[in-house]
Amino acid sequence: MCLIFQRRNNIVEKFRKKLKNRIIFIILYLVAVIAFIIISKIFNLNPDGLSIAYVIGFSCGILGVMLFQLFIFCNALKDDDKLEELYINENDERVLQIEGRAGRIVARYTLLSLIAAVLIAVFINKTVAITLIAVMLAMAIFTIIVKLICSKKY
Amino acid sequence: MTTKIAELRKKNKLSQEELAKAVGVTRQTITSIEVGKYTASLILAHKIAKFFGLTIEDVFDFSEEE
Repeated sequence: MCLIFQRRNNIVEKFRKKLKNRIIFIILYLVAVIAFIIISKIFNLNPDGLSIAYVIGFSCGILGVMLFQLFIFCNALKDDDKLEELYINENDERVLQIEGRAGRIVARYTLLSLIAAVLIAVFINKTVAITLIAVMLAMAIFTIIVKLICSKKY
Repeated sequence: MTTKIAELRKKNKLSQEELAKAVGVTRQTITSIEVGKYTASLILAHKIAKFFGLTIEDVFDFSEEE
């Protein structure tokens, strides 16, 4: 029993280090976004276009989610019970199985939807159709690569 | 596959939450195993059996699978 607890402690300690790395990554991302906003204001990048506004808006949206996660991670690092709970929630075997199955189903139906979209877009707009084909091929290639990596790994 | 987890829990006056924490899964996973919606992995089955001081065969009934 003592050995089980020791093993569990080791796993939780590894997870603590992982959380610390995630926090560092979030802080680096925060610094990068702030730096980008300051630089874009100082050098007045793309003054009349929407591109910079899109990039800043998108980055800030991601940052919002990351800051929420940062709050959860910091709370977990302060309290061992919360840390263990977070570890269990992230590594629960049933949740991982659901994610794996859901991912497979989503990938399959996304590809089927893209094929249907290409067949319709061909009659409406050739550029859109070619873009969709490129996305479809990229997705198919990516799926094959991931499957090959996973089959070698497991 | 049927299990004796619910029975063993009641016998040992344990809640699903307590068992879940002891074997390192969520309460929902224990619920799903108890009602037969989810089949536990070999490692989890071993952990559960070990927790109750029994063998896997004592906790899980594989007769339906055979």
